[in-house]
Amino acid sequence: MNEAPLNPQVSKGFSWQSYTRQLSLLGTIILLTLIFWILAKVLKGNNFLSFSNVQIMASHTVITALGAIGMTLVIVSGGIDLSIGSVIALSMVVTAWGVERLGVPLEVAVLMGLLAGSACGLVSGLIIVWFRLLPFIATLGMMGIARGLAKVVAERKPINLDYKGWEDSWLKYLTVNPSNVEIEGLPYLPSWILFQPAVWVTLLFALVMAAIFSRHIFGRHVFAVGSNESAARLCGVQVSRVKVLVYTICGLFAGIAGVIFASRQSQGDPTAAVAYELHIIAAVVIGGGSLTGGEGSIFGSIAGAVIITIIRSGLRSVQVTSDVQEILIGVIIVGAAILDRWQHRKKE
Amino acid sequence: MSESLASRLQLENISKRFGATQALKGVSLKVLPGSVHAVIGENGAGKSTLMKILAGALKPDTGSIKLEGNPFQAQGPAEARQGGISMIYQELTLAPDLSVAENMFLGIEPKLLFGCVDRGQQRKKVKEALAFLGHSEISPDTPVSQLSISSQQLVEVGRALVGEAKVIIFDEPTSSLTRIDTQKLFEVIARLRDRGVSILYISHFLEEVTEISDHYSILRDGEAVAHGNLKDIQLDKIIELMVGRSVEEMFPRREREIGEVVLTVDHLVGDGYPQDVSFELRRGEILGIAGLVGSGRTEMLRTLFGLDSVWSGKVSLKGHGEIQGQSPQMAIQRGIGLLSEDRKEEGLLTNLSIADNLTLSDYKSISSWGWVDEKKQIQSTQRRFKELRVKAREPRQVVGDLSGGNQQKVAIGRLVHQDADIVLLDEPTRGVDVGSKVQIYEWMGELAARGKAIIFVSSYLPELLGVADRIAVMNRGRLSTPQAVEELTEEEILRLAVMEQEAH
Repeated sequence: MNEAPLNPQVSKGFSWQSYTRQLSLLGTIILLTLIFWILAKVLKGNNFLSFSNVQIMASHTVITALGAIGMTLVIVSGGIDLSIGSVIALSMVVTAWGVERLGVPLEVAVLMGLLAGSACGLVSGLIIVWFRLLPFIATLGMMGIARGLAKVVAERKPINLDYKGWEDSWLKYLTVNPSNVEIEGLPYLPSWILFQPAVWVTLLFALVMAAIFSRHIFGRHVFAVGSNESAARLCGVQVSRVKVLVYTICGLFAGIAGVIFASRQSQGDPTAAVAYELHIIAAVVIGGGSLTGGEGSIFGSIAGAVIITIIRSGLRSVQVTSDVQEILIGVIIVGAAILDRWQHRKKE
Repeated sequence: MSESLASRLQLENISKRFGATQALKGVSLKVLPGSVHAVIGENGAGKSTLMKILAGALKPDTGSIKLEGNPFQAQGPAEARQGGISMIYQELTLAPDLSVAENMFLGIEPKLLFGCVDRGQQRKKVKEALAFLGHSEISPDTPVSQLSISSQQLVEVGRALVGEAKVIIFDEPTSSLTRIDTQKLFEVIARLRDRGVSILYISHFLEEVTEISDHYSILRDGEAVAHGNLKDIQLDKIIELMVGRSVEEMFPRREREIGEVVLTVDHLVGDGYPQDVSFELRRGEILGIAGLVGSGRTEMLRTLFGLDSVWSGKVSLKGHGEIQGQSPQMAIQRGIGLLSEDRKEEGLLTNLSIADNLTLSDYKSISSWGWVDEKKQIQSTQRRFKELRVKAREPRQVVGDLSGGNQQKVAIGRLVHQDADIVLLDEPTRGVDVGSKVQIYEWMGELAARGKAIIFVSSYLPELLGVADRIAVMNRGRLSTPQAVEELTEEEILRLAVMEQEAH
């Protein structure tokens, strides 16, 4: 019985399994892009990979990706957050309401939007921990509550962000697509920025969260809770605190997504982001998140969000109707979950 | 074995490979009708793989299986059961909310018109089966969840019986049974044998194996290294064949000095169990806790660790005084470590890496500002690998891939990493192979010699008597006064463990 030989290459926090997974995600993205590029070219004569289309796709990914960052934490902790779409709408509405109805400075309104999102997550988390409710039920309740609140705050109709100076505000600039041509009176960003600032902001958040997730004690504790709650408790992990934090962070990211949504739409729409929870959960699952907890990665989920956008916008570019898009997204969620099960079975 | 004796079950040249590991290499085995055949081997020797092949859960790469002379190749557990081979798994596979009768006939219900279950017939047969097993006190209508573990196991055996099994495989059937329940199970096995059923009996507990079995086969590294009659072989020889080296001494005793009191427990009452427990634990001491499963031993450890709440009584810790409202996190900070009896459910995070499992309870020592230093983490993992002789490919390997013995070493390694001063061990050698057991005993001796204090809960009396300095017996939540191990015998401990129950 001797010491096991150690492979120095593998010891750098880098496992072959996650490597192949990332490769296969990248492969999927390239393959899908290629398919839609050819389809759009042949069927419609469009360029799927035109600069403007890629920009649009990137901007569409932002909301899903931000939600997916928070959702990854929740799913890895062994939970789920069905309220995320409604919470996005609520924080979007609260931000617009703050500026337009309360007349507070934009920064304060944004803060209110973020707080609204975090508060929803905090409440969900506390309910789950205090009353030992299934996350499914607790967040299903929050889904209704947040949507209803958004409608109450907005008095059932969108609050338009049209105060004087909105078009020049920093928030609006977050979702301005860079362009070669400057049009008088419209916000302009030079094309060397490539994507709208929101895309870069999202990537920055992803980087920070990925680091926290894989290297920080908190992130490791999230994995521990999702992998085996009682073992985590036995190891001194404060399970309840981790859970509450995870839902609060998910709410915060829903809040960020809502604020950026408000910027993109220039309004707070209480009926926005309906069924986004599905796309967001799908992104996490496609990206390798396991609904039984303990597995998942931020960049996997981001890749999942990109894949969903490519499919949606690809289908749109070949003029598949949105109803059929919904069907296909549903099929993809189930397919990804089946694939996940298979891989688990193979491991056993 | 003479050729004239027709074998019930014959395995020939069975091989099975998983990826790079050759789990079985040309194993041949012969089981006679009406006999108990022990399959003995360390963890990872290939016992489970062999049994899974028999039960139809796996397919062999080569080789053949003959049941009563006819080729047998089940496509799954259900088919194996129909073919006459039933397996009683280590973890029970009953539907807890169904009744005893429903469980026994699950999937083979006697049918009336239109597929309705013939409940009368079902009850009658279940009653017959239970009577045959000598346990007619179990009612066919009781939901299984209300039965004790040992009774649930009987329901499993009954299921095999009503399915008219010709071969019944018992996979570590006694790992969660008390000595008394084990004896009851042995009576049941003897009845089955006398009825002509062939029994394949898998266990780590060699004393048990020699008690119940007629024949044996020893597996080592996927090969059958010996077969024969158990009455012709000594226990030491079996161990030698199993581990491939002579085990001079199962229980190495190390010189150690017993120091000052580090833990004082005074009339401790928990939520249900424990009931009024008092004892002192000293530095350098191994305090053994005997008792039946369910007598409150686990609950006592959990209460001391802060997983279960204290209702009354005092717990004082050297350097901390009396402690109240302790959480597991605080317990760890105060230098208490707990090894759970249930490795899979509570002990390990099976889909996380070995490194994470080892360091989870004390990330602080390998991190700065909350950021885990991966280099330090890997280094300390490698150190544990060496200390505890963990057989693993690399620190990032997922714990679930390891064998039972190595998993247990990882769970123990966590306590080492945590550098706990008071170590609470709940059945540390359960489901662990002989070689790893000896290593665990050695480790315990070494810890005590370094001045740590250990509470050692075990259902296996020989190891308690072999390793502990003092032993106390838990009985319905109450703990007897610890006595020096020299003053105790197995009989005395058993008497203490069941005393009150007899009085009731």
